[in-house]
Amino acid sequence: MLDIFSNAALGLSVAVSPENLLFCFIGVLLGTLVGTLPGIGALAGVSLLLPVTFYVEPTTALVMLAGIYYGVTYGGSTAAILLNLPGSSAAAVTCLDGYPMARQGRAGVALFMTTIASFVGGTFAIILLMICTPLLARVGLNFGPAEYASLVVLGLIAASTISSGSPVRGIAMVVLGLLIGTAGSDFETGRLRFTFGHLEIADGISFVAIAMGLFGVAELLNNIGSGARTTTVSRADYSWSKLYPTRQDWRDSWGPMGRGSVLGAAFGILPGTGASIASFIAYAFEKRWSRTPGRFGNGAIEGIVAPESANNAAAQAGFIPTLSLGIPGDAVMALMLGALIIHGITPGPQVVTSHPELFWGLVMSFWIGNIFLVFLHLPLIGVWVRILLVPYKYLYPSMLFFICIGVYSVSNSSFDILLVLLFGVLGFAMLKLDLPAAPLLLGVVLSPILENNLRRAMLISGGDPLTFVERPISAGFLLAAVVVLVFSLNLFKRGKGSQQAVPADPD
Amino acid sequence: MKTKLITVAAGAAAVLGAGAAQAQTYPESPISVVVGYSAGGFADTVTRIIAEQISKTLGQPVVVENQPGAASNIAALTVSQADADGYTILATTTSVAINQTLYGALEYGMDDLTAVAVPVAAPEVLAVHPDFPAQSLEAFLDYARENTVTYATAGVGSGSHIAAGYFFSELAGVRAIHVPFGGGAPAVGAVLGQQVGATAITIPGIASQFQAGGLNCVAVAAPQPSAIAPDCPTYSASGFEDFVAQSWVGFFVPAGTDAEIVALLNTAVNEAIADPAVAERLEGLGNAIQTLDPEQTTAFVSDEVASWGERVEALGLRID
Repeated sequence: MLDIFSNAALGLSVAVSPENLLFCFIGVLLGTLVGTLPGIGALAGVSLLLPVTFYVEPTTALVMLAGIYYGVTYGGSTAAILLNLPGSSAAAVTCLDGYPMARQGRAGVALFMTTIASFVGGTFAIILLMICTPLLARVGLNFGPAEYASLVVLGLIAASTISSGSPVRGIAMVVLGLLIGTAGSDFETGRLRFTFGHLEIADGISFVAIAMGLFGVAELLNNIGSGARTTTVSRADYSWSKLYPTRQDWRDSWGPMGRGSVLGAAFGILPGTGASIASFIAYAFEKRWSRTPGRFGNGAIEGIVAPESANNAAAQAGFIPTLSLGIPGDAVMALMLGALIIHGITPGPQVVTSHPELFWGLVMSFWIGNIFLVFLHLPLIGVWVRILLVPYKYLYPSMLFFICIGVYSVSNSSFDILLVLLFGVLGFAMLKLDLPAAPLLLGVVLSPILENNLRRAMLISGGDPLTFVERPISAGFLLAAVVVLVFSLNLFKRGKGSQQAVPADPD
Repeated sequence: MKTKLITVAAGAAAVLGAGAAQAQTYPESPISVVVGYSAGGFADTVTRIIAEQISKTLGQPVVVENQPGAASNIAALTVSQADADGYTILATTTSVAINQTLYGALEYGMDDLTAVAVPVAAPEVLAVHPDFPAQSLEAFLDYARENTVTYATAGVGSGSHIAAGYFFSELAGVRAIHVPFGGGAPAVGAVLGQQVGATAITIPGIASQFQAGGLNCVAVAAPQPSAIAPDCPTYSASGFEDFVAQSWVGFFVPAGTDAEIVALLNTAVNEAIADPAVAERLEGLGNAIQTLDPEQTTAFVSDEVASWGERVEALGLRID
């Protein structure tokens, strides 16, 4: 225990050096900007600033790049709430209740509470990072392909229940998403599937293109028809008092924030998969937990704070495997490790012991960065909310412009912009048919993870499907999936009952 | 659609630029290097280290762009269709040599590209967990004859997959089940967690595990043992003479680029890797530095295309 304090002191002394403070601030500021612009993700921001890191100390470089990384997760909710434009699968979950809140004139409250939730989630994961990095790193290694496949099954079941409306529609959209996600190279033979001769989708359809199309462009097409309103909220709805959360909002948020943080940190330590699953499992969990699940999808505050705290907890916890094992959780983490390599530090298990100032300096800079982010975001809320007062005729063309830039920036591919249009039309049709978009999106994200890990597990077991129930962790996830499924069918019945004006029993 | 756009743009540029001989004044504007892989990967890291140095030598910014996708085929296609003026350079890996045989119908060929330099090469290795029952190549092959063994790689069609697959089935005559992962890091993670028996990977992807004792090296596919794992025997020393498989990073320009510009770029790259600081960084990753002139580079690349092609065909791999 004493070790932690001496290490924390060492880390703090590194983190508060003027240079590190400055670069931490630059990092989180840039992360906020990049995260707020729809479609331009952490990867673009980090790659852009990578050359700058050649000229500074490795710790400083990492402090800045990490700042961009978690700054983006803070900023990502802004466009999701205000404009229904999610830049990541986590932000897509925030859209579910955040955007309805914005349309009710409560965008300020939503932005305020997501900032607080992000801070709570981030803080929780940093404490975890400080206390048990070596221990938790090993836990991630126990997750083999069978465990990942079963975890995704649980995730998909949860995904199908997150949207309001009938579970059958949710499941149908998850399955459609899974099918869309199979486009691209077969992971075992390399053969191209459903690419129609376009090498651009050989590695799968761009997630950002699908998200921007299904959510942003579809919403935009939908609003073109409704000529009467010219802005998202009328000026009358907009007042300063509506910017800040009420006492009731706070009371409703603490529980979801706590549970979201725990779930996010738990999933975050699984390289690759954790961050994309954490936020919607947290959402699905809250919806189950709630006595009034009907409010979800119509602007429930729990529906934004739970996924946002989970998302940020996962972002910080993702550093556990990255730093202690040298195994990056995603492309952005890989890029950060690349920055270390350029400085002659080989990432791996020895980094924590051979470069304690780097590891602890970085961890302590996370605290500072998270505090910077809160002070950066709260004053900006008033500014962001004014975006909703911009008339559609100016707002929509600019949105389209940013969507195109964002989507193009992911892999410098103009083909992806055509995909946005395609998915925009699909999303519009789905809106008209009352089919939920979020489960489809999550199906697309999880499709390759499920397929590849299922097939990997079968390769390893020699074709024996019992491997999924013989391995205890995997069996646990499958059992949980069955429980959730049974529960949601039960809920479906109860939903029918409430249509006949029978009050839902308060279980 | 994209092809058309690029062709139109190239045509317009040719008319405007009037195709004046640029070799004397080259370079007079920023040079872009298109990497066929995501930022942060092996090829990207090596490219950025070298690009930074070249930029100093040539006195022009060298901008690294990432155009990942389809095992670097997208970037290769883009550069093969770019103006042959030396301002667009492709950075790619062994994959460009493998792809010529692996892919049935590519829209570009090696004739459309001129090799500038192949400054680094890193050998393929076979590695196992310290608890794995076989810790030498001989023991591993014996074990594989009695038991089912699995090996993880960075993905199907990667150099690691083709080299290891060729070794197991064609040279050693044992059955080993290939388990592809999405990149080198998860493959290493799978062996660390003992989900699979072994991993076939390039040295830079596993160097830190060797140094920390997390994983043990069984054999290295190079003529000489590597400085990263000096105790690890070569395949030759274990009885498989001349089995060499290396992953390299190479720079290419569109075919038809002025030979003087190619020579200038080749010299710049060779000067960059001769810099002690740069060499130290690259070697620290487990790379061997190669200083080749343009003719040697061209010969090296065509040998690689031939030898990887042979292995791909022996394994019967084909992507259409």
